[in-house]
Amino acid sequence: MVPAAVPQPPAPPALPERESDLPASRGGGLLWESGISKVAALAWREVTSYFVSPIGYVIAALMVPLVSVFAFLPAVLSGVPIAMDRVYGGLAYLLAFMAPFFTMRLVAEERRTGTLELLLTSPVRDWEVVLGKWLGAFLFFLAITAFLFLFAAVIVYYEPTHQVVSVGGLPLSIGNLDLGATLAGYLGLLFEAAALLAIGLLCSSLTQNQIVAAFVGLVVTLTLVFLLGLGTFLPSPLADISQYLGAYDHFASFNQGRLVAGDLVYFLTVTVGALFLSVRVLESRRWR
Amino acid sequence: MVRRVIEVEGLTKYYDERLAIADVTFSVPRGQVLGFLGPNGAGKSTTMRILTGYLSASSGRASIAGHDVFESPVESRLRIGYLPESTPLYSEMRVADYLRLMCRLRGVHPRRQADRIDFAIESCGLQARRRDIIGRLSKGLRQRVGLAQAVVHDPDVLILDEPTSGLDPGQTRETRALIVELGRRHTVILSSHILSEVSATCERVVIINQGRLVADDAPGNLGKRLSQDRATQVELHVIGDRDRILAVVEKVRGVESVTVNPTEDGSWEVLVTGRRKDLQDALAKAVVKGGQGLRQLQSRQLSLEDIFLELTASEEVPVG
Repeated sequence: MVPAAVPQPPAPPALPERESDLPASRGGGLLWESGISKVAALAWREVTSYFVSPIGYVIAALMVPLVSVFAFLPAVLSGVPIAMDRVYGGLAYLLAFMAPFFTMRLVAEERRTGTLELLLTSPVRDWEVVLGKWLGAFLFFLAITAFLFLFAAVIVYYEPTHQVVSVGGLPLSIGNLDLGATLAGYLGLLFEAAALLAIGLLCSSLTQNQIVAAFVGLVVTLTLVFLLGLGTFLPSPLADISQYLGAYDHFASFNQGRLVAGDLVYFLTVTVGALFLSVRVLESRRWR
Repeated sequence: MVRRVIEVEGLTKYYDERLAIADVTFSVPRGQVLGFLGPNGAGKSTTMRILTGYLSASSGRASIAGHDVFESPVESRLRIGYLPESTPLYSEMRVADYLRLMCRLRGVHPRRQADRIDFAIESCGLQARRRDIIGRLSKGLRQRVGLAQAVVHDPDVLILDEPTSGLDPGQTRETRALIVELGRRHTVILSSHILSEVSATCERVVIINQGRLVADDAPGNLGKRLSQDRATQVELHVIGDRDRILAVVEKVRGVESVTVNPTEDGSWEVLVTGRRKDLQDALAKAVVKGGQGLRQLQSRQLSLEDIFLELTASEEVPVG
């Protein structure tokens, strides 16, 4: 082995000093500093990539007919005064199956192809990456559930019992749709989606295999939405705990038109907790 | 004023128990193109990943333009353009859209994004590919997109991990030329296990082996310095009687070993190894004086390749 005497490096060629220490192009401003514009850029990329990938269309193409056939049409055909709660209910169950497929790609795919390395070595904080990706999935969920507004419009239009509302002295007739309950149910759906997508994102961040991410995610979301709600036959303290942990009951409370702080806290806790853990998973690469 | 843009001090990294790099120290002045040379698994990528903040070090410190990569990761990464070894890109995006995303993630002012994208596309020769989907480009073009994303935010430092691996010879030449061109505007660290690449593109070479720096110099000096106190080798082609040649050559002071092989044209190929600066002159004189016909004489300079092999081989490699 040659003695590793490190000599002085040769003199570099003269290079004009740059005007400033900062990259000349820098100046994204406060929006950039705060991370908002980075999160927005990441979310936008996720949304657009859903629209160019088959998985987005497959999910959308499954969701609309399933909800229509199993939740909307039976209610319409049965002739009872209908509202949106059945549709929301159907969608809330369906979401447990769909959310992991929404999110499986988010981090796992970037891990597999190596783009995650490029992303995480950009001047982007780990939480901005996580938030951007989650927001992208959430916005895509909003986009493909836009058909709910159509359902609501159909109910308003065809509902046999009309009520007369007076607006500025003019009698207007609108369908018998309880707007408060409709909005509350929708809100519940959004909260549940937020939580399940965050869980899916966490699962995606754990692996570089999308199938594994989807499967693990599915186990968690199905447990949350279906299994824990069935815990009523357990001895009393366990039954209560299981019922509290189950996501569907919290959603159902929204769907019945009630806005309860406890339900809100539940969904926010799950969402923020899963996102927080995802950030920690991304950070963990540094310590391996 | 020579500013040290990259400073690395005592960097050590363990993966679990395994030592990846040990006490790596070097610094790079502004504007230099530094070649980071070593066999696969020597710790090149690990060092680069620490510099870019993707991994943390077990100990030691590193800074980019005065910003510590561990304490102010965002500030230091703003100044880095990085091309990982596998050239990871979002293959479903179009070239210009991808570069725009990278501008937005790296804080390029919205009003300057169009200019920067144009600049990156032009300097990497992608004018005709702006609207192409990245996944459909050839490997060579994808490599250019990779370089374009590294320069799009006008960073101080370019960190390029094996930028020509997997390219065909034509693409390799193009990419090297591009790197030399980019080296005029940026400080560059380039890793490679290919010697000719480093000697063709870099002003300075750092050789790393088994996680340790074993040499650090200009490619030219590296050869000279290492061959100084080392046996030199001279190759002669001589006409005459084999035994007499041998006797004459062996008598020359400083000669350590001689091998004689016949050649096709009837002369003898004589390989002489010895420790003497003017071995070549002494041999020429002796052969001519001894009445032998000297047809050819050349001293064998250690190529960068020999040095590299010698520095990085675990066992002693016999010279000649």
